[in-house]
Amino acid sequence: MFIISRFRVQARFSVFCRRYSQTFANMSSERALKRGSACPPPHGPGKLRLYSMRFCTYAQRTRLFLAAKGIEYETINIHLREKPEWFLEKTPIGKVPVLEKDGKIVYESLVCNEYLDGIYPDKCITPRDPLEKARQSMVLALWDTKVAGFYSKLVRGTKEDERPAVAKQFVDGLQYIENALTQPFFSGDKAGALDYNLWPWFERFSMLKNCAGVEVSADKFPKLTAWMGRMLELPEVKACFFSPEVHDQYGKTLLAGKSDYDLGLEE
Amino acid sequence: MANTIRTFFATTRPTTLQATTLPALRRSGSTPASTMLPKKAFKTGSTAPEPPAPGVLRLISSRFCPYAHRTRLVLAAKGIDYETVNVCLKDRPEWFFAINPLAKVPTLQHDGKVVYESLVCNEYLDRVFPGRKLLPEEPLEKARIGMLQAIWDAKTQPNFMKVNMSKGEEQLKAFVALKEGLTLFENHLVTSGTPFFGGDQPGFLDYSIWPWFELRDLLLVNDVVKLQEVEFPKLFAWLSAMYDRPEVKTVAFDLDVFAKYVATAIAGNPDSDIGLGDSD
Repeated sequence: MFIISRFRVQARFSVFCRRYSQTFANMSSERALKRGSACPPPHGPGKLRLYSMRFCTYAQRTRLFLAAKGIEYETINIHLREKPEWFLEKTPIGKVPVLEKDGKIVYESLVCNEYLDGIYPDKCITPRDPLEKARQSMVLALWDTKVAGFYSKLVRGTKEDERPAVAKQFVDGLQYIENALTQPFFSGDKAGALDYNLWPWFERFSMLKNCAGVEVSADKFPKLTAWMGRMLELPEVKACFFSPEVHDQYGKTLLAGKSDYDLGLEE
Repeated sequence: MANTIRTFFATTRPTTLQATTLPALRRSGSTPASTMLPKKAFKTGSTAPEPPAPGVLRLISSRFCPYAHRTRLVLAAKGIDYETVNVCLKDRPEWFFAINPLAKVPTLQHDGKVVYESLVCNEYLDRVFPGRKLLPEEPLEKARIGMLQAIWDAKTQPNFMKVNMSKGEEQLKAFVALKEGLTLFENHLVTSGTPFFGGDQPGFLDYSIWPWFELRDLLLVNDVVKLQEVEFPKLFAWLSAMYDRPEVKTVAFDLDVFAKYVATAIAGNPDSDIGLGDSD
C-alpha cells in the first residue's frame, strides 16, 4: 500500500513539474540585472531591445503589442528593487518597459505601444479614428480611477477590517469596465490596443482571490468573463502568459516585500 | 482640501471666442438656450442645461481648474469656436455624472459625442479640427512629448502642488524634487534649440504644462521656493515667449481673483463664482 501511494505522489509531482516548466518554456530566461551589473552592450543596428520585468503588468502591455505585431526583439530584465545604475541613466523615471533602438530610448508603456505602431506601421493596433482613440483612452481613465487603485490595494495586502470596503469599491468600479464592453473585444471584432492595455490585470485575477478572497464571478460580470475566455485563445496572449499558479507564487513574494523577479528560472 | 486647491484657476473676462460664437448663433435665426449660458457654476440640484445645438462644441469646465485650462489653451490656439458651461467641482451637479461618469473637467460635448480627460480632449481637438497641428507626426518626436508628459505628471506637477501645500523641511525637499523634474524640461529646450517644446511655435506639451507656470507665483509662495532664471535660463525664456502668445493672453487667468478663490478654498468654502457679477 505504501509503495503504491508513493508512486502516485511521484506521478502527480512529475505532471506538476511538466506543466510548471511548460509555463516558462516560451519566456526569455534571462535573470534580472541588478545594481553593480555591467551595462549590456547595445543591440545591433536596427535591432530592438526591451527592458522589462517578467511579472510587470505595464511591461506586459508592450510585450503583447510586440507579440501581436510579430516584431523581433531582445529582452533584458531589470531587478526593480536594486536597479542597475546604467539603467537609471537611460531613463529618469527608472521604470519598465523601456524600448531601445539605435541608441534611441522610449519609456512609458502607452507611449512605447504607440511608438511601436509608428515605427512598425504594418498591423497597426492603435486606432486610427480620433474618436475611437479617445474612447479607448477614456476607458483606460475609468480603469485608472475606478478600479486600478483598489486592485492594487487588494493584491498588496489590505487590513482585514478594511478589506470589505476596498473589495466593494473594486467590484463597483469594475462594473464601469463591464459596461464599456459592448462588442466581443473592447476594440471591436478583434483585439486591439485597449484589449492589450487592460489584459495584464485580468490575467492576474486569481491573485485577488488568493490575497483578498475577491472573486470576479461570471454572473456579475458575464461580458468580461466571456472576453477573458476569448483573450486566452489568442496566440499573442499565450506568448506572454503566466498561469494563475505562477502569478500567485510571485504575488506571495511581492507581499513578503521580496519580489522574486527570477521565479521559475533555472539556476 | 487637496481637491479644492487643485481646482484653483480663474478667468473673469469672457473669452473673445465666446463673444464671437454668440453672433453666429443669432444669425442662424434661433436663440437656443445655449446663448443664454451663465458663467456661474452649475451645482448639485441644478437642472441640466439643454444639450449644445447641432455643430456647436461645448466645453464643460471650471474657472479654477488647470486641467480645463489646458483645453482652453488648445481651443484658443486652434481658433475653435465653443461655448462654456461651468460646473462646481465641490458640489457637482448630478446631470454631469450622466455625461461623464468621472464628472471631471474638462469634458467636451459635440454632436452627441463626449470626450473627457484633458490630454484626450486636446488630442481629439488637434486631430478633428483644422488649423495648426499641435502634436508631431514623427513617431520618435511624438514619443518624446509623451515621455516628457509622463515626467510632468509623475515628478513635476505633484511637486508643484507639494511645495504649495507643505512647510519647512518637507517643502524644501519637494522644491528640490520639483527642480529635478524641471531640469529635464530645461535640458530638452537646450537640446532642441527651439523656443517652445513644440518647436518654433507652442505645441501640445507647451499648453499642457503652461497652467502651473502661469500660477507659479501663487503656488510657490515663499521666497525660498522661487524658481531662479540663472538655474533655468531656457525655461525662463520660454515663459517670456509664452506670455507673448495671443492664445495665452486670451484665456489668461486673473491672478487677483484666483488668489481670492484660493482664500475661500482654504477657509473651507470654495466659491467657484467669485469675481462674477450678479448677471453672470
